[in-house]
Amino acid sequence: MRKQFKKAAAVLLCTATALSVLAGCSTQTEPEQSGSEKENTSETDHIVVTYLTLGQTPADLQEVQDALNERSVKDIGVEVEFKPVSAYDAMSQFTTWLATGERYDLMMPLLQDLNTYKEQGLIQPLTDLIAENAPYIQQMTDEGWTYASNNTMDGEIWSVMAVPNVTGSGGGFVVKKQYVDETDWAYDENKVYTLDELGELFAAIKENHPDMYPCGQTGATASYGYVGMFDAMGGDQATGVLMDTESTEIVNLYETDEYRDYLQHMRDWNLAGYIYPDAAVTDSSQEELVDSGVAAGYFMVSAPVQADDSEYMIRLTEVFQPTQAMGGWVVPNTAEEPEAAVRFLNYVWENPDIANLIQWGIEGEHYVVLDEEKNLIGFPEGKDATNSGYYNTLGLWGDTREVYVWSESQSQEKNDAYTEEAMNNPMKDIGVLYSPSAEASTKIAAITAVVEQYEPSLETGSVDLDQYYEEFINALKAAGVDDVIAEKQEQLDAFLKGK
Amino acid sequence: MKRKEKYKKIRWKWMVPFYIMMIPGLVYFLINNYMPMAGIVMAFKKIDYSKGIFGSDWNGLANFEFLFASGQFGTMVRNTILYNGVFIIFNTVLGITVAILLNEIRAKIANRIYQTVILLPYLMSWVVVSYLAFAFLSNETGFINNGILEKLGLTQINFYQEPKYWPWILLFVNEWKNIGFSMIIYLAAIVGISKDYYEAASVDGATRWQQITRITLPCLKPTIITMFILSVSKMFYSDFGLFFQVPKNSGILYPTTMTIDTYVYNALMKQNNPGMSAAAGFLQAIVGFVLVIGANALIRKISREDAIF
Repeated sequence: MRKQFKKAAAVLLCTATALSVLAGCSTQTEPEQSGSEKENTSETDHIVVTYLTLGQTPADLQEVQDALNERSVKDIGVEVEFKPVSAYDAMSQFTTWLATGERYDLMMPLLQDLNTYKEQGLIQPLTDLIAENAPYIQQMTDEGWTYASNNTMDGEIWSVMAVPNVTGSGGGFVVKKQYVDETDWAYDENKVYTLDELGELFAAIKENHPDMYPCGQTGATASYGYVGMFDAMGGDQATGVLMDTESTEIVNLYETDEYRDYLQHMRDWNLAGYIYPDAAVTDSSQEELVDSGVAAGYFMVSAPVQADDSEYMIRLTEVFQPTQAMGGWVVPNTAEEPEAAVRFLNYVWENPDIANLIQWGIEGEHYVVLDEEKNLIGFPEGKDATNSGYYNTLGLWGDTREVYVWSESQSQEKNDAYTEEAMNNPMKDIGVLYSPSAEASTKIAAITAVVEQYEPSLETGSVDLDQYYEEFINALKAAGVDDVIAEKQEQLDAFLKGK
Repeated sequence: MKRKEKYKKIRWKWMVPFYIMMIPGLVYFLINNYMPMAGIVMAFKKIDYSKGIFGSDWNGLANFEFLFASGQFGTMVRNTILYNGVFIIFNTVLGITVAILLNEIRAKIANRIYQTVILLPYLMSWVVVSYLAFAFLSNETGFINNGILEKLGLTQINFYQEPKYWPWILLFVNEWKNIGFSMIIYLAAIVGISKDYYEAASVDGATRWQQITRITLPCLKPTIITMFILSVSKMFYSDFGLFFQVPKNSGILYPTTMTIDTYVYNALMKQNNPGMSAAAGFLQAIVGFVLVIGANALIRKISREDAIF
């Protein structure tokens, strides 16, 4: 009889499991229903919008939201409800929120891979929505301003980015002025230096400061992105890149002579003591090492904002215009008012004062205008960044060229010069994003793992190049990098043909 | 026949209260361990949230492919199983040894102090442990490189770039951290052994050593077997903290530090693909299940009364 009971228990458990499967089914379908039904009974459309913070929600957010709604309800009949969330939490939480069917009409997946959202059916295509509801954004797109609504995948627009106040990219090395001025190494703002010339600077600094590691820490981020010129069509650099602005051929970055040469420099510099010995595994950031006097600088994008008054920007490549897949405003599938959401985006992009309101708060209370010409603002008397009720430096709204700035070093003049340089030197793949097939994403997972394995040690020059470089390339090939590159090339060719 | 039925009824009645007491536990297991099992289907789906988990398209075994695509599956399985095997042996042997030694210490205060000191590492977070290891092993400030090798005039060792040292480092760190816990379990079992056996043995003139080998160890056998089966079920899982935090995820060390868990983490961190991670978890669970059944069958063959089921 004991056996019989066991049997009964087993049956019971099976039923329970089956029931739970059914339960899982029913909860899963629910959000879709609520998402598809629409209520357009009232005159004003209510939309729910994520509001990214750097960890702390501004105290006066409600006040700003009310001031915003006062105008937007009157002008376009849209009432906005901000849902504050820290940008760091957003990385892990957005997909979960959407997967559980939570309602959002506009969402900003900052620095996240849009393709994941698209592939998992989390967001809606925007092409038609923009054409019907956002004349200003549509106009900018038609005029060729790719950044107003780039991020095209499968021929559809998926997100709307804030218009950046500076675009373009290029390799550079940010270094503290004091160390350079001590040497007789000649610095020229506009010259493009070679790695050998940079090595001479390191040698000179090392001579003056034997305890220092001038090049600092190179392995924390994929450094070659700040040294060489390439573009990965919005995907990971490991999945194939264009090596210059003339090229239309996708190649394996790690196999190029340029990359091999860069690794050789890193190895030489590591042995010469220019690179921090624990660079491959340390948790200290590059800035920390510079601040504590261990390093003299670090590799960075050469945009003017990256170097402050105490630093030189040493350019290592020309300035060029890359594909930017930073993520932008997306309309999730859980949206109940997609038209109103896009209408609202159009409203903010068209009216810099609305963008200013969301970005910097209410004039007179949260900021005062110092110089109308230069778009320069400051804090009202007695207020600063710590006690202001509304100070959020994430610029995610509208045309940020028109939005106020706080300091002259961020002046639009410098930014414009850089942007113009970049605009005249665009990569050929601008306007298209790589959209991997299912087989390719399996391979990309494997390729990523290979890169994680070798890249930090190679890019910090921590290991012998002869031994590991070939091993690295072979492992990439074994993981199927050539197939992924071929697929990317196919998508690029299709895009170029249609252009 | 009739008698049997009557007996059955009585047994049932007698058992009812026990089953009622079991209900909270059963409910817990249902909610926490059985209901989520439905999610296993994710391993075979191409997840599309607009269609829902169960509505998404079937994907065959495609989600499993990434485990094999890089050709490193052999390395990570070998590492996972070998390390776990060695850890099981060392945990058991060292745990029992330390437990017996501690049990022999008669001074109460000293006993408590040793016990606490040995247990302390077990209570530390892996992140803290990884920095302790870093303090010993790093190039710039590490104790071994700067305090020992340099003073002796030997060449420094770049530990985080040399795979060959890591089996020993990982074994040492793992034992240092976990010995306290297995020691506590065996000590509890030893304390539970009736004093009568030892008194009888010492009256018969048994030495301390004989008491340990003839009384303590045989009495520990059920505990050892239970612990063994529990560890075997985790054979395909690895302690993520040990294999990820302590080697600082240094890629060059992967030949000796990569396990299934760290590979999955590194491969999927950037991809955010629930299907692939479900596939990896599914594989680990299946292998763990097979290993438990296998280990238990083996034990049942060797000594029937010690098998768990």
